Amino acid sequence: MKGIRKVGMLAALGVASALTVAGCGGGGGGEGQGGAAEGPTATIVSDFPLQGANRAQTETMVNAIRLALEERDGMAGEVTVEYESLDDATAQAGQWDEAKCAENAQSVAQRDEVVGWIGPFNSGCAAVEIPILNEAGLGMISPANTAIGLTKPGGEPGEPERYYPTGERNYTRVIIADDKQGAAGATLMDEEGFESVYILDDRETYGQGLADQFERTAEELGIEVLGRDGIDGSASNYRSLMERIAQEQPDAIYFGGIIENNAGQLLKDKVGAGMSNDDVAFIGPDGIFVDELLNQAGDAAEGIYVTFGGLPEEELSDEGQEFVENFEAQYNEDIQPYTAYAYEAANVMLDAIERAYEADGDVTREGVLREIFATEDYEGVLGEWSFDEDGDTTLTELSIQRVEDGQFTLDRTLDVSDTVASVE
Amino acid sequence: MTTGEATKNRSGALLEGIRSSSWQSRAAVAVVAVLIVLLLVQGVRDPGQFTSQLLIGLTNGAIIALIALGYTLVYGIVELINFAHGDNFMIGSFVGLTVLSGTLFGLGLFSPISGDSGAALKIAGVLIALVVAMAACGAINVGIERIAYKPLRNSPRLAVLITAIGMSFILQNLGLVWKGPAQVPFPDLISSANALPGDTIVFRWKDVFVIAVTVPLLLGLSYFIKNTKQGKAMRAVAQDKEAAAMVGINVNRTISITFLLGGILAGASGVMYGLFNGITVFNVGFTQGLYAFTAAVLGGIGNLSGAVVGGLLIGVIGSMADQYIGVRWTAIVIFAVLVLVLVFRPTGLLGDRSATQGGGSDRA
Amino acid sequence: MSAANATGRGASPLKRFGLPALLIALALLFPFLDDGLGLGLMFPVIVIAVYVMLALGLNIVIGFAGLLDLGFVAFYALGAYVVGWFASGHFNQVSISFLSTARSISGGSPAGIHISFWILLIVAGAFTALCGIIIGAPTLRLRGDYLAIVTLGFGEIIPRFFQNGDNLGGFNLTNGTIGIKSIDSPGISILPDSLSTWQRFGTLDLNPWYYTILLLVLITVYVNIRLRDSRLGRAWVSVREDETAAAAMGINPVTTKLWAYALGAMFGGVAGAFYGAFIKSIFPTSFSFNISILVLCMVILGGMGNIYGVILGAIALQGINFYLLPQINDWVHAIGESLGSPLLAGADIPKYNFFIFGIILVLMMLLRPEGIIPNRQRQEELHDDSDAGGDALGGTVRA
Repeated sequence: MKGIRKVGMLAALGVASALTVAGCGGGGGGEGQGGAAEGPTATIVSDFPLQGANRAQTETMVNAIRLALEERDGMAGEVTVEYESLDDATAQAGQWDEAKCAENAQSVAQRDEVVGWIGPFNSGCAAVEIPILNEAGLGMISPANTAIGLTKPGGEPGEPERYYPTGERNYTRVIIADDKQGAAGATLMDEEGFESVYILDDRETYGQGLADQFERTAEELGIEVLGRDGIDGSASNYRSLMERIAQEQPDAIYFGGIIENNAGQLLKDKVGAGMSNDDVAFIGPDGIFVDELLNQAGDAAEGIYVTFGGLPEEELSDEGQEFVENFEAQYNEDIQPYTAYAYEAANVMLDAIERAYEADGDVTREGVLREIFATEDYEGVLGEWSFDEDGDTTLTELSIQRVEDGQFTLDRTLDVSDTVASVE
Repeated sequence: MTTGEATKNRSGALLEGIRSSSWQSRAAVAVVAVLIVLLLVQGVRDPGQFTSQLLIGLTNGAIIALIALGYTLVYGIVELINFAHGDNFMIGSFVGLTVLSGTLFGLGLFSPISGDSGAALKIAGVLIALVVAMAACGAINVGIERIAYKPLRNSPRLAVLITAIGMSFILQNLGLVWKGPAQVPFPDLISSANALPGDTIVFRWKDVFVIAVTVPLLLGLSYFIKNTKQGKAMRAVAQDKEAAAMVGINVNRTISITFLLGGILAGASGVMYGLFNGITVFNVGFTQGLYAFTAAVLGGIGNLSGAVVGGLLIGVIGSMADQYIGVRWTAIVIFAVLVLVLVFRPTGLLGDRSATQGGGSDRA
Repeated sequence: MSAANATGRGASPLKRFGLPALLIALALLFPFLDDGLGLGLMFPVIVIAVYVMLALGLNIVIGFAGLLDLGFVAFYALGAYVVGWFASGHFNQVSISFLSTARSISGGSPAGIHISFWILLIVAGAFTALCGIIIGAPTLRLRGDYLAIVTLGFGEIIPRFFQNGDNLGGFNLTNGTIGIKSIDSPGISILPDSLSTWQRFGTLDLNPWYYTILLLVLITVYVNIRLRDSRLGRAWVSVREDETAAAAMGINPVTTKLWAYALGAMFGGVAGAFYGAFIKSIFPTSFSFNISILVLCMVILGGMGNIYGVILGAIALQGINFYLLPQINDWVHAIGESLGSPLLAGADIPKYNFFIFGIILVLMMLLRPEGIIPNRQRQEELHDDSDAGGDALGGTVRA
């Protein structure tokens, strides 16, 4: 998912010092407008887990939203936009907390000045928040939820209707959902001629959902699924598991999960059990598409495949490259996997507010929601895309990255629209 | 704190035990016997794989055992579940990593020791990392005892439990700030090549390393407690603090030394864990601590041999469950074994110190 | 001993009824206060109230009967799953509705089992009490810390079982990691339409939820008080203090402890049931060991065995966790800006939240080792103990 990679890191660093100074002078995003502005005002909020293991990630997402706002001088067209960052994690849980999610949604629902919601980060949290915000008619754009059932059938029975008690949709996402990415993994196997696979997941909503979708497509494509297991992300090692998988002699291992759940250790133990990445391919999702993985797994990462729902770096739009440079210059920190999605979500939201004001002469939740869904042929950092009627991105092209010489390099791009259609 | 007295006249008591046992414990023994037979059948069917899994379990268990010793030592003396111990173990692995990477608090002391370094440098690096981590964790543990436990020695016992939980949070946050939320890799200093000839049974040099560190530490600890004056003082304090004080034993000092020993073990196991698995993370102490604590109780808390037996047992049960039941059920199996063992043998496998020595919590 | 037991029994009527009446009145008026002052605290207060209930349940086990329980979260989880199973579309193989507010979007009867929330509260309480007995019966003969570890074992097993329960021989019992979602809202359907928010509790108007949990908490407090002063309560004290002597006096220690276990579990289960319906989604990962520890901290920090203390402990800790810690960041930034210190203004406080939480726990315990409001009787015992030169660690929980 490090799709938007650090292009010309040195050049960016050169600009860094200059921009940081400018950034400090400019003050935080949306602030410094001073006094009651004459024009219309609106507030948007974001909701991410800002404590615990995800913090490094979510902090850059908040900064990306700030950056998007700053680049427009805190304005969406004529509208002065205030931004507020909410935290859906608690110190005690060390991660997202369903009660905190519900509380944030509930309290924002009652504040009329809030017209847009960027988030949440976790699909489980989304399941809690969507029904509440649905009743409040607040438009949501998530930069990170991939669980398929949030927007369309294919997950559990009753999904997605059960999340929308009013019957109207209010939730969109700029990230590619599990079905497409799972299909990409299976298509890759098909193209490479791998005939059997052992599927692992990290027992979290993201990883398990992705592994489910992968399993569906793999079976559709006639790939033999030798076994399926869920790992404990806090286990000290996976030697016994890998020993067992080695006896099954699969052509490939698919891991649905995130790097935080010990993907590095998993790779080390896989190779350690005599399954080199040349003999038994390893395929993972964008949840492990982080440079950190190369650091953690070292040589064991050489040759693994990673699917990534976005455009490869060579074909990245100018906006994308510019964003990477600006971001790293302004905040002096590296882009994380979901940073670009947060930036894209913020821009889509701000554009929607701008259009809503132009159309209605006023900024209302209904107007912004309507305009979010009306986003079409949007040219952003992720490429050119639209929202379909479910609120999903129309991007169907995914890239397959492979680790070569200790670097993620583009292996190929896959268009999965046919595969997804055939499964459905 | 016993080092094995409980096991001494067991053979003689075995027959007596069977005669006087209840139907529940007979049923339990029968279940265990059936399970062992099932395992052996699997073992005969594919001996190479069975042995490999057994060895994986034993090395994983050895690390758990080393952490468990820290819990059991402290519990034996002050009857406190030292929740901060697991996090101290985590700090130990971080200290070791920092030493190996050649930086200490931002100071580059020497170039990082990596897998490419010479053999002598590697050995020196590992030894220094072990010693520094042991010293640091020992000091931290003594410090924690001074700050958070000692002032509460005359307070309700559960008050100390809460400060222990508090200290655990503090250490965990320290680790988070220090190394960040992501898993951090350890340099690959010890070969993963098989130490045994052939490749049917895998026992890597890394596994040899774990055994080579654990066994001397165990022997040393056992010698210290059995034969030295200070060790005898520890046993005396464990039995009866007032009586120990009356015969001139410095109770405070003895307790401090116990915590020091516990910390040293935490430091050693932390570095060993990192070198063995190759990755460590700020919350590693929580899970490993939980298993280690379970191991200590399984063996009979307060009993040193018990902690080792419990640790090895958990390691082996874990790898067998991974192989024959499925990874997602492993944790459930381990905790179910714990519950069953305690239901049928309420003082753990080898019995606890209060069962053999009286005093402590069986009052009331 | 029994004199100390009757906290306030000999006190003047004003003292005995005045403070509780004042507190109840304040609690009843809180929604108006919140609305009038625009505090926006209704949601956190409801969650805190759930924890008050949990803490009071655990207080029966630890405070009254002296049994250390490290796995209380198991009952909380079981209660929540009772509501998840019987008031959602989870078992979509069947379609059973009973006095429920659930309506199908497409019309017709909704898939799954939908039973009235009010019935489920009772079912959850009974079910968890039963589970408490099943878990307790074979284990309660264990002494002190061993019992604690067995409860810890169950506290680990049960959430993991829920996590693995999506495929038990092909049967989806718990829906695994994804959890059970879209749980029905409670409601009182017989009410007239003018009280529509009470007909079916909504997500935007929290008053019905608030008064429901308030009622549950008040019942819990009342039961706690009655239990403490009852024959059973005295039996708990005697078993806690000296099991052998109690047994000699004709008290059956196992039955007595089992009662404490079952009653504590029951309140945990009811709290879980309310929580499940309130959040409308339950996930196995939310019932982690952390929750057991947090509730334990509330009971000990507040003052084991003291009902007011336990309530205060729950409010304090959950308030810190839910309300204070998120605020600290803003405060520090504001202070930093007013002092012109960029270090403070830009400080990244959430990164240190665990640290702050830990320091608060340690400090509170060092300053008030017997809890914020200690139980008078326990305090006396404790000082008795040290006067007699008892064990330095003066175990209060000695079971």
